Amino acid sequence: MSTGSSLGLGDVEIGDVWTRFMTYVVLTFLVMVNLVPFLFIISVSFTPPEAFFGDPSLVPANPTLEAWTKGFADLRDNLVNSAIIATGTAVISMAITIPGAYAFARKRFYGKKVGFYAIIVAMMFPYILLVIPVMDIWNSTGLYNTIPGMWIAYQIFVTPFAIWILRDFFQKLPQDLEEAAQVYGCTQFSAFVRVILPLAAPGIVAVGFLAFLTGWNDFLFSNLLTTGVGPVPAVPVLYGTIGGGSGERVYWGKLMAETLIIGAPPTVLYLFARNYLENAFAVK
Amino acid sequence: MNSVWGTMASENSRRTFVKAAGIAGITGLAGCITGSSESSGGKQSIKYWEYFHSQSEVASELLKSNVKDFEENNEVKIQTNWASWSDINGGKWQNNIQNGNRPVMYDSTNSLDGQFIERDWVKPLSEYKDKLDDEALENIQDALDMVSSCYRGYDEDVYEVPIGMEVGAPFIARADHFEEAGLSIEDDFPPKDYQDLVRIAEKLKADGPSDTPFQVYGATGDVTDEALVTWTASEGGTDGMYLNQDWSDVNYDNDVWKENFKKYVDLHKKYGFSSDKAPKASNESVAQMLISGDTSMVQGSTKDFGLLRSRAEDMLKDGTIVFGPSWKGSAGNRGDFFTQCIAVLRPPEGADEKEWENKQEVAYDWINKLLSKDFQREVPNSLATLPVRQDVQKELLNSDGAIAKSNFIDSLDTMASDIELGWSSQSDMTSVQYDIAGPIFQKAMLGKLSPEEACDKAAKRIHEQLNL
Repeated sequence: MSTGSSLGLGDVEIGDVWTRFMTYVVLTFLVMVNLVPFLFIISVSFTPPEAFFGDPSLVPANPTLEAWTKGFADLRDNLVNSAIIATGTAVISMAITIPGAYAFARKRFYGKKVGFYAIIVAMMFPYILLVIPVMDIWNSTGLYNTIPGMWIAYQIFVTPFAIWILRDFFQKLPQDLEEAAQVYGCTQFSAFVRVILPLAAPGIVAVGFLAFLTGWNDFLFSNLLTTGVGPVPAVPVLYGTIGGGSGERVYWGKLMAETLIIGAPPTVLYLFARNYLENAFAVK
Repeated sequence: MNSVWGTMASENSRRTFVKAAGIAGITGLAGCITGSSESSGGKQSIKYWEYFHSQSEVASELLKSNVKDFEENNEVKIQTNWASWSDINGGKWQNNIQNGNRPVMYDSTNSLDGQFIERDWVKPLSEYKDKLDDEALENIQDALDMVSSCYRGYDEDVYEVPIGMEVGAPFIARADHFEEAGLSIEDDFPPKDYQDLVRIAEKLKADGPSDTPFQVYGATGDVTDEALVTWTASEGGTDGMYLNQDWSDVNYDNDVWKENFKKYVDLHKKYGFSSDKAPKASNESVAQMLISGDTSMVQGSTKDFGLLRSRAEDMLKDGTIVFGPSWKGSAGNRGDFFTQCIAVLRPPEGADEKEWENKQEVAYDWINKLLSKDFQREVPNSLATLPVRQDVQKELLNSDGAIAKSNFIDSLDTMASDIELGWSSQSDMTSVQYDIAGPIFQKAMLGKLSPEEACDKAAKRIHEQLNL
């Protein structure tokens, strides 16, 4: 039914047209805000160094792969380190947080509330505070400049957050499902494995993905807990390309190419895990 | 029954597979986990903390190819960390050495290394001078005499072997702008003193193509360490350096610094020779202004040669952009210098002395490689500094291409022969030069403080925060 403001185009009202128009305007603006810098990053990565400071152009006049080949040569070994560190960080965090979050969600034990909030409060402090003690302990225990050292260090970032997310996930699953599984012969553990875990898969994948991202992208610990000789991940190499704080000349093409190379694996992983992630973070 | 056996067989094979995969995974990871292992198939292996490569892409390629050659020719393994400025300056190297992760050698900038020298981690040159090539030593003797000024607060004369000398700060100009303004690049460049600089800039402003004839820069990392300190050093000698003779005080609040900083600020505030961006401009950005023709002359960094070469090599080759030495001041010199240098470290406590000596032998061979004529010839193009070997300097003066045509080596050579004092290798130099003084001096460039107030305030803040 048309109202007074109708244009007479069936049931379409001027207000709807205006809303739709503004939605597209806002969406286009937001997409451009993200897309234009990204296109420039790609463009600069193919631009020869002598052309960086001329007139800006989205399509380089003489495109070159030099920045990509140099960037990849610089990062090759470090990308392998990053993959091992990020995968290990995700696996270990899952091994710790799945049972931990389940216990906080489903079990009754002394100090449960205090313990949970202590974990949450730990997240509120800046991690930079931990640098000196962590370096000290890692040095004295032989974890410094090792991959297991990185795996364990990243649990400081990842575990509290993962327990927080997964506890909520487990809490929201109906209690009856577990009880029904036990009625049909499951033990408490097999009910957890066969019923709860599959239902919590979106949450677990999401948390695992975030743990992987932390291990992949972190700079603080990856720089401070490695000497530079040994298992250095890719991000500190990127920092070196920026000039490492000296403010001297930067090879912008290589910087952009390395940024894209480092960003590619998590992006691919995201595409594979997209459905799980959307389910995990969907507002219901 | 069959299905039961089938299930069991299937479970068995699955378990076997899981076990095998687990063992394979752990074995594979073991290789990756021990990334810090020093084993290298029986070859001698040494740790080398390397900073030179970060100066430019050319430097990076040069260092990487030289390390590779050295490994192949000497059957050794060099474990390089390809470090950055902030690794040295931000405490990472110091923390690592304190915690037992020590390299056999490092290369760096001498003013950053007091933190290692004052803790007696660095082996003085006198203890291994006989291991270095005689011909190279003969040709770097002048440089060694000069660098002793950098270590004057310590017992020994020289702790690090200089590889490149950064003499500061040469003038760089656009010859075509001079011509257009009716000036002669041969006769009117470089300026003979401050008054001459003002005269040239006024003429360039009146008749030249750019509104900003002489661009100064006030970035916190550059305002104190390029043109300004060149002037103070040339006018005041030791009084014009950052620290006094025995490193017990900072010099910012003396007359030499106040007068010269006022002159520097005047070029922007009183004469209007620079653009509005001057207070926040870096020396790299003003070099770019020179390329684009937005300014006619700057007094920039030696390193700007590398920047100009990568962005405008043709302008260097055809003499459009030319270098010139800074003037000789009343102290009888043309400025200051610092070095790109390499050092050998003492063994950590409890280390096997014999094994460490063997590693140090490799380090001496590497230093000899960096001092070789072949490597030294590459220093201007890669590190954008003057090579320390005098025979190579002379050779380069007669070479073709950007180095000779732009007057780069000639200018640095002229300056180096009239320079006595280098930046101190004192452990607080970064705070003295940049962290404390930089932002305060920039305020004067912005007009928020007078130059004299900025000098006093920087000195006061250093007295309060540092224990000199």
